[in-house]
Amino acid sequence: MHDAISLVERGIPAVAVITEPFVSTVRAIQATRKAQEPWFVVMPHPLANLTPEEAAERARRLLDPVTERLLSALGQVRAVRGE
Amino acid sequence: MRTEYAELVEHLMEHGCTDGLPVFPPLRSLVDRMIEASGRRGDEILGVVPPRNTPATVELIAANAVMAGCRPEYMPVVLAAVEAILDPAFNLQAVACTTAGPGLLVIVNGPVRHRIGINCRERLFGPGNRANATIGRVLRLVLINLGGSLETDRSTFGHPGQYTYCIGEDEEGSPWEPFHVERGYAAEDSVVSVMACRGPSTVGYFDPDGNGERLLRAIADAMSPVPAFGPVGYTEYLLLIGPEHRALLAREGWTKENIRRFLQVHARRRAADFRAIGDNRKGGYVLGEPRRWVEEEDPDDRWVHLIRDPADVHILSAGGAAGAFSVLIGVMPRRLSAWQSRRVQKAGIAAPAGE
Repeated sequence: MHDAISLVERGIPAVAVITEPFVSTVRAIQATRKAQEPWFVVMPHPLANLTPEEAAERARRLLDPVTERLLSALGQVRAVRGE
Repeated sequence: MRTEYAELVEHLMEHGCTDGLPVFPPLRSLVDRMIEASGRRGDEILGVVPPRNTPATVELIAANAVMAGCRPEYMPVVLAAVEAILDPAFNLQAVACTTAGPGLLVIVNGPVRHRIGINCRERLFGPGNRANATIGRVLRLVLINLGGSLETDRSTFGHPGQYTYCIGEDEEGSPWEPFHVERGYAAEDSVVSVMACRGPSTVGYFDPDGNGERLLRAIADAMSPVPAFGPVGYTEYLLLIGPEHRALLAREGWTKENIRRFLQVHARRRAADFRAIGDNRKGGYVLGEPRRWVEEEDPDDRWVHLIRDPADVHILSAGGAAGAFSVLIGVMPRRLSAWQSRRVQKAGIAAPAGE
């Protein structure tokens, strides 16, 4: 989460992908960093025991929400730059 | 005055500045004494404490050391331990947030143990020794107060060592090279090492006709429960060998290296044991490397070795004189959290090994 916020702050669109139990953790980090937008996308827990096929399927399902968040981050970056 | 003091303690507890137990209020004069004993400037920054990323100044560490109940002479050990956990390779952000709920185990070696009274023997993990209890406690208070960990820690269970987890090695009672000397330090150096660890579990081996090999087979067996080896793959172990077991091994000429090699070979289970449990052994990743404990074509009687490398077994001499016990502690594997050692310096900086 820190990485995603730092990248957006540096003008690089970014999004953190987290599992559901960590929502409160990333919200606390976001509050600390005074980040306005939720620069993360949530997926189900757990992650570590997926087979390669299941992980690939998980990635396919994340494609749309991650793209949406990245485009939103890009908009934010452009707004900050006054583009 | 007494009432005011109690009110200060209550205030700190109400504001979530404690581990749930009372703390000493960090009065200015007490914090200043602690800084003075460190031999360092109060505004020196040791690193940032995740996840809140608060800069850890010597002064803030001193305040937490006062709160934990440390004596000023513990400060050089405390600072070395804090520097160890703030090394990026220790990956404190993950250690502080993960569901696995590790404790920060502090291991103290060298002459400083005697100077400040670090316990290496009876009741090693038990109550009653101020240096062990309070030095271990400071790290947790630093995580809580500077890292904000009470908001972000997702430990499923955690363990009692998350309150405090600090031990010394019984170098004088050991037939082997001390832990810090194995890591490249001089015997006369005082060194603090920190590892992200599960709770301690006891291995008893009492056979009056036993020998070193049988003892080590018992320990290897205790290292090999299938459910301990989840989808994140290989783990590491810290083995604390108690005096009775040490005497048995020393009599037969076992070295630490021989012990490590023996345990690596014998910490194993049959493919059938994994199959009987099934479920999440089906696959998984070791940080990007797809791997399986058991492949479909493996015969049921194939041995699966659970320790990747003998160097993943860390050995320490410790514990009280009576009792045929040793202790095993699961250590977060170094690809997730690399254990760190720092030299304790009375009035200078804590230097990493080899510098």
